[in-house]
Formats: sequence, structure tokens, C-alpha cells
Amino acid sequence: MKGWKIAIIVVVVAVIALFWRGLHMDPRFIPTVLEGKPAMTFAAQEINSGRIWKLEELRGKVVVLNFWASWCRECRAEHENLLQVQERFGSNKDFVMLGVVYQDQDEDARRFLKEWGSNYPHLLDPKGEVGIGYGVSGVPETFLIDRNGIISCKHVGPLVGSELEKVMERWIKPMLAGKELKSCA
Amino acid sequence: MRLIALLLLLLGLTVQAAQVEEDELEAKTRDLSRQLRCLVCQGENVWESHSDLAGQMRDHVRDHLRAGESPEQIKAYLESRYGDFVLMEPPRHGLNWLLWLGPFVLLSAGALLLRRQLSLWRKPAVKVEIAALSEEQKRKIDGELARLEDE
Amino acid sequence: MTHVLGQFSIMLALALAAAGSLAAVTSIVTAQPAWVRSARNAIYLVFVLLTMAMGALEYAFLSHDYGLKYVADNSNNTLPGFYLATALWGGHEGSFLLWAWLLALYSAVAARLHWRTHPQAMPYLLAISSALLLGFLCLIVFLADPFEAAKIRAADGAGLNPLLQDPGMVFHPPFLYMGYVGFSIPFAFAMAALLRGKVNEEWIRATRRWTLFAWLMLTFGIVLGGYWAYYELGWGGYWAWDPVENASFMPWLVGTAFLHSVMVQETRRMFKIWNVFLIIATFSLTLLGAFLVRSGVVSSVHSFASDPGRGVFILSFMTIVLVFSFGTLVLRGDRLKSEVEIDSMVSRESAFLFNNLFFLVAMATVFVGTLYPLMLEAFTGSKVTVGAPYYNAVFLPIMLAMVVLMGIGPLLPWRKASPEVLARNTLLPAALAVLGTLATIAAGVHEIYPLFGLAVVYFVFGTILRDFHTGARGSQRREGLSYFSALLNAITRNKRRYGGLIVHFGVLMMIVGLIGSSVFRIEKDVVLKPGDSFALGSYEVQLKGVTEVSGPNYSGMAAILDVLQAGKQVVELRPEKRNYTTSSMPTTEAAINENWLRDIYLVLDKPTGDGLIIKGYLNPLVKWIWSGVMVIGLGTALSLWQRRRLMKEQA
Repeated sequence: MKGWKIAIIVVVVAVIALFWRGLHMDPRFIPTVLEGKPAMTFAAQEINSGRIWKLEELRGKVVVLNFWASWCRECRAEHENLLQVQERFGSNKDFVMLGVVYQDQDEDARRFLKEWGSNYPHLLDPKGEVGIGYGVSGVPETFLIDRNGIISCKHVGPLVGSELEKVMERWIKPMLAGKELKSCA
Repeated sequence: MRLIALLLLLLGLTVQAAQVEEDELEAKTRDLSRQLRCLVCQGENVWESHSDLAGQMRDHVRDHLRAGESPEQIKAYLESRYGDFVLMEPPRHGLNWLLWLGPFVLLSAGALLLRRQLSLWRKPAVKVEIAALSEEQKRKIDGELARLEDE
Repeated sequence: MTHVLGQFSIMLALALAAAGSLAAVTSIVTAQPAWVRSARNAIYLVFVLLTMAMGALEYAFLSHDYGLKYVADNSNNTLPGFYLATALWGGHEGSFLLWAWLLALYSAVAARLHWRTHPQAMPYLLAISSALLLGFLCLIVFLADPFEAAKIRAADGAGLNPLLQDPGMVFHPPFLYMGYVGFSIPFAFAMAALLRGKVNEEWIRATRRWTLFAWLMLTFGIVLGGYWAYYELGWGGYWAWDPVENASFMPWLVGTAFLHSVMVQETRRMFKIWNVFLIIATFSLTLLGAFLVRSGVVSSVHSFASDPGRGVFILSFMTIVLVFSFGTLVLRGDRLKSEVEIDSMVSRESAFLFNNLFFLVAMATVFVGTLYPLMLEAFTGSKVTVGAPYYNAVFLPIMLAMVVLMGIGPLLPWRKASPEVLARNTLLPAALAVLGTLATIAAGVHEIYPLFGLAVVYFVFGTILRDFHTGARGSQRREGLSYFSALLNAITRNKRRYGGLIVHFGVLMMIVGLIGSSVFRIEKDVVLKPGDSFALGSYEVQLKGVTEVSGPNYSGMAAILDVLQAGKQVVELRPEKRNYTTSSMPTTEAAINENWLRDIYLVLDKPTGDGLIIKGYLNPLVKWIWSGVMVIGLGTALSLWQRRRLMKEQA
């Protein structure tokens, strides 16, 4: 068959295939580039106590970092589950769970915690430097940081249902037991 | 809104009016912000977007520029955090070269192909013995042809 | 009542479109004229029904009928009348109905106009038009029904997005669709030719005016979009290389190539397959545009709310059209082969071919740029952004080359250009280019890129002038008229040619505007207290104060700014920040003072503790862009005016 005919067929088929594939992709989803990279060190103030938390001081511990905001509905949905996580693992001295208030007013965040409860520290991020440092583009987002300060895994979206189970059973539990995570799934 | 407007008016009456110059830092922030993409917007750059994240990124850019960092450093940092997606144009490495060089390669290849096709189509020169035209005749004919072609 | 009427009309139209397609196909297969007549009548009826549907929907808007979800979503009680009437195409469902209605209109007109002159092509024309209508109507009936009832009838609607309440935005979709739909007729004719295995020049001549008109509508539509962005969005620019903008630009690029290439076929009977390819590509790209805008596959500021169901449908529809049209081209293309013989590499034919090459590469560049993020993500999972910086770097050189060609092409005669003729023809333009460039340098421009661009513009301007002049002189010699009358005489005797030259001149105007406003723009962001001023080019802008503003459906504040030059006031401008009752996001209304030399463009950003943030732009030559497109319109109108009685096609 002549060259031009082949070229037309190839291009048309390729374009259509690309679009079919495209319909199943989400143009707003941003893949993370930080898994396996060192977590950004920060010095942030706790919302109620005023104490400054620094990430370097947590070296040697397994850290779960959760970004949330009072105006975010999905954060509200996962809030009880987060409290549950802390209840389950909090007694382990190698486990630290921290919340980071993202693009929010301090007062609104305090009110949220007062109303819905809080059993772990929450950090303020007024300029958004921590958010940017972790490549956060929306809430809620949750990070798992290993004992060497490397970001092991990132989860976008609320921790509910099977996602919650994943984080508790396949992320935190093995890591606290000293095992290496093969994947974040 | 109204209160602020009133306050501004009052302020204007009490404070000395000044010739204001654009803050150089602001101009630099603008230039760099235009090269960064607002991640939660649909295709807008960080300077134009009204979203909160864009505002925070603009502040980030401004603060780091003020601290003396170069635009490249700031871009590199943001790229390390968010990936290539945060830049308004794809970085020139790897597969992206396809994009940067593609148009020129296409143009050159197309032009070559076209030239080849044109030469294939060209009528072969006819070898015929004709009495050569005199210079006078040639000029006259060319002139007539030119005039015809002009219309 | 209107709901029922509207829905019923559309459903009946769908049934008729299906029937019409069948009738047309039957007439092709059986070669019985009665079927063709039925097919034609079906199209007429579809048009009448869709007009009724449009009328019903318009009535619903004007009477604030919030029982319809679409009306409730896109209007409210305080929406000013003009925007209320045109909110019909403010959302997805209504704009699709508008598109379908225009398609029905064009198909009906084409059927009427060409009934006597193209009896053999008519069945194919009707079949394709009906099939396209069927596709659109299926989408409307099943996935995008503007007459869908609201779940609860609210007392007031959600209102129209404030950004759309602007004249530019109101006319942008209709013109754009008239362009897209306009290309469907040449497309149908081309397919008819392919399927019959015959192309003759009557086809080209018949579709020439459809093509020209569609091209003009598309040009207006695109520029209106830019005009709206400039006036309404307040970022001082008019084109952002956003995927949706690119989606309208691509068919324009190939459409322009097609427009030029058919001239060769008309004159020299060559490139038949090529031209069919071009029109199929143009039409396909219009559908691709629809897909990109409405499927949510790419993220864009302009996307309609996306719906995966619609995406699947439009893609399926597009797949069918692509496979059918390109498939027929691949299978049947050889029947159209013409004996191609070129006399010389330097001739108008080859210039047209290079024109095609550049336009196609330009389109491919935009195409790949728009789809690259998708491709990369599909293969590697990583995401990149292909934004304005990329296109500006890559596209501008290609565009400059096209402008050069625009100047050289008309200089070359058909078949062969002798060096002497070529040299004579380029003398004046070259001289003008050199002089113009020197003058520009003297005026203070030193950057290479704009200088080169302007040199090209001067050159092409010189060729256009020369063309008009020799035409006038020729007429003068022949008819013995005064120069001016001779000029008019020449133009009226060959409207096509001079219309084309005027269009090129309009393009030059736009290029000048584009160069001026992009390379030489000055922008400043300042914080002002009342009494403060800042320099903007040779102007001084002083803040006098602020005031409140309000309108039928908004309230807000305006900054009062005095623009001075050499101490004297030039104009007072009041950029506003408005809060519409229906929107939580404030909108900016830029204040613009324009003249032929520059636009002074002021935006009120927001008040802060230190004062008012004002963005000031000095955009040179922007007016040339909008005026340039009007000149293009004039030239096209002149070209369309040349009547040529359509002759009945030879069997």
C-alpha cells in the first residue's frame, strides 16, 4: 500500500486510541514525585500549645503527616478515622502522627478541632511553605515518612474504608514492625 | 469594601501624594510566576490565577527572590516538589525533545519530501532544435508576457 | 407546554434525520429520484423542527421558565435582556442545539441551492448531512437535553457566569459554529466526489463560496474569543494557547490551507486527492475540537462541565466520521488521480504547495503540543504542561515563514517564473522593506525578532501595493480612465483576486498588531494611595480616588484614575471590581483607552493595607488586530461577491 495511505491509517488509529485512553484518565490528577525522596524538614508551630515541632527531631520514628482544612468536607469525613489511627498506634513510642492545617484560618481550625476532637498535634502553616514542600495541591493528603526521614508513601483523598485499612495494615503496622514496604498499594 | 474605600480617601487627604515606581521585586515575581503553572487551576499560570494555592506560590516566589535565590533555583525546588507539571513549558530532556524539535524536523522533512515530489512532477526538458531568438525578440516577448501576467 | 413542544420537536427531528439518511442511501443504491426528494424534504423538515425547538427554548429563557433545568442553570431574574436572550447558548446543551440548528440550516440551504446544478452529488450530500444531523440529535436527545425538567422549580435561577456577560462572548459561539458547520458542506461534496469516483472543477467552484464563508466565520469566531479574553478577563492578553483555543485554531489552519489549495485545482486541475484530504482533515478537526472541549479529557479554563458519557458519545461519533471519511479516501483515492505536471519549481503551484506544507506543520505543531501531555501520561504516567512559552518559541518562526510566503506567492505566475519577471516584481517590495526597516530602527526598535517580522510585513505590503498598482495601470491603459477609476475598475473586474489581496492586507494589519502588543508591551504592578501616580511609558497614571458602582445584577467598586501626558489629562479611566449577585468570585472589568498607536489598559486588583493594587499595561497597536480582522471580512465579502452562475455538472 502506498506510503500516504499507511500514514493516514496510522495517524487516525493512533489519535482515536489516545482519546479512548484519555477518557479513562483524569486531567486533574497530579502524580507524586516525592515517594522515595527525603521529606522536607520544617519547623512549625502547634496550633494550641504553641510548641515548635521540627521534623529532624523525629528521625528514627515512623511519622504520619496529614494535611487538612476546616472547610474541606472530605477531611471531616476522615477525621474520626484519623483519631482512630492515633488511638491504635499512639502508644508506640516510635510512632508520631501530625496534622498540618492547610490554607485555613487559625480560628476556624481551632474551632474544628474543638468540635470534633483531637488526640494528636496539629501544626500551623501560615505561608503554605510546608504544603509546598510536600507538593500538596489539595486536601486531604496523607504522607508516610520512614525512620530515615524518607517519604515512603503518599495518599491523596480521605482515609476511609479500604483506604484506611491500607494505611493501618499495610503502611503503619509493617513499618513499625521494622519491615520494608515493597509498595504503597 | 466601603469602609476601606473611605479610609483610603481619608488617607489620601492626609498623606503626601507620591510618584510610585513599580517594585522591582514585584516585576521579578511576575516574570517567574508566569513560568509556573497553577496546579489546581485549568491551565492558568501562577501570576494570573486567583486561587489560594497560586497566592501562596506567589508569596513563596517573592520570599525566596527577596532572600536572593535565583529564578532557576526556585524553579528547581518547585519542580522537585511537584514534578515537571508545575512548569509552564516541558523541560528539555528525554522524551520532551520530541516536542521541542518536532516542528522543525517535520518542516524540514516535509520540505525535502515536497522538493522531491516536485522534481518528480517536473516535465522533462524537451530537446528540440529551434532557431535561437534574437535578444530583441526575447526582450519583446518577455515584456508582453510580463504585462499579461500583471493583470 | 414549551417543554413538550421542544422535546417533541427534537425527537421528531431525530426520527426524520434517520429517515432522511435511509432515504438518501436508498436513492444512491437504487438510483430512483423519488428517494432523493424524500431525503431533501426530510432535511427541510428537520430544519423547521429545530427552529421550533430553538424558539421554544428561547421563549423559556425570556419568560424565566425555571421548570427547565437548563434555563435555571444559566439565567436568573436580574439578568439583563440581551444576555437573557443569548444565554440560550451559554451552556452545553443549548450550544449543542445551536450547532445542530445551524447544521440543519446550512444543509437545507445547500440542498436548495444545488438541487438543480448537482443532481448526481445531491444524494450523497443529503446522506451525509442527514447522518451528521442524526449524530448531533442523538447526543442531544439522549445525553444533552436542553428541555430536561428541573427537579424542583426554583423561584430564581443560578444566573449566567458573569464572565460570559460580555458582547464578545455572546457572539463568539455562533460565529465559531457557523465556521465549523460551514465546512461540513464542502466536506459532504468532497465525500460525494470520492464515493462517485469523480471530481470536476464544478465541485470546487460550487464549494468555493461555502468554504470562503465558513473560513470567514471561523476567523471571526476565533478573533472574537481573543477580543473577549482581552476585554473581559483582565490579564491584558488575548491568546493563551489553551487547549480549547487550540481546538478552534487547528481547523482554521487546515481550512486556510484548503482555501488556497483549491485555487490550484480550479486553475490547473491538480491536487484533487490532496484537496479532499485537506477538507476531510478540516472537518475532522472541528469534531475533534468539540470532543476536546466537552469531554473533559484535557483540562482547560474554557471547558464546559465535563460528562464522561458525552465524551464517549462524541468520540464514537468522531471515530465513525474519521473511519468513514479517511477510509474512503484510502480506498477510493486513486480514482481521483490527476496527471500532475509542474513546469518549474518556482511557480505559483509550488508556492501553494509550500503554503500547504507550512500550514499543515503549524497545525501539527499545535496538535502535538495540545495532545503531548495526554500522550506522555498515557505512556509514562508523568505529567507535563505545554503552555504559552512553548508555543511562542516554536510557533512564531513558522508563522513568520508563512507570512513571507504570503508575499511571494502572489508574485509568482502560474507554471513558471522567469528570473527577470521575479526580479522586477520584487524590486519595489524589497525597497519598501529596507526603507521601512530603517525607519523602524530609527523609531527606536532594536530587537531582531520584531525587526525581522516587520521587514517581512513591509515586503508583503509592497507586493500588495504593486499588485493594485499594476492592475490600475493596466485598466488605465485599456480604458483611458483616471487612476482612481481605473483602480476601481480593475477591482470590480476581478473581485476575487483583489478581495484576496485585501484579506492579505488585513492579515498584515493583524500581524503588526500582534508584534506590537506582544514584544513592546509595558506592564507595571503598583500599590497606590489616592494622589499617587506611576509612569506607564510616556504617560503618567494618577489615582484620584475610589467610588462605588452598581448595575442590574452586580455591585462593586471602581478606581478613578487620571491618565496624563506631559501634564495634560488624556483620559480618565475607571477599572472596576464587581461582585455579581450570583457568583462568589469577584470579576474585574478592565478600563481601556485605545487608539491606533496603543491601548492604555488598567486593572483594579484589590485594596490592601498599603493602598490599591493597580495593574497597568501599555499595549501598542492592539487596535490593529481587531481592525485587521474587519479588513479580512471586507476582503472576503468582496471575494464572495464575484458571482459565477453555477453550471449544471456534466454527467
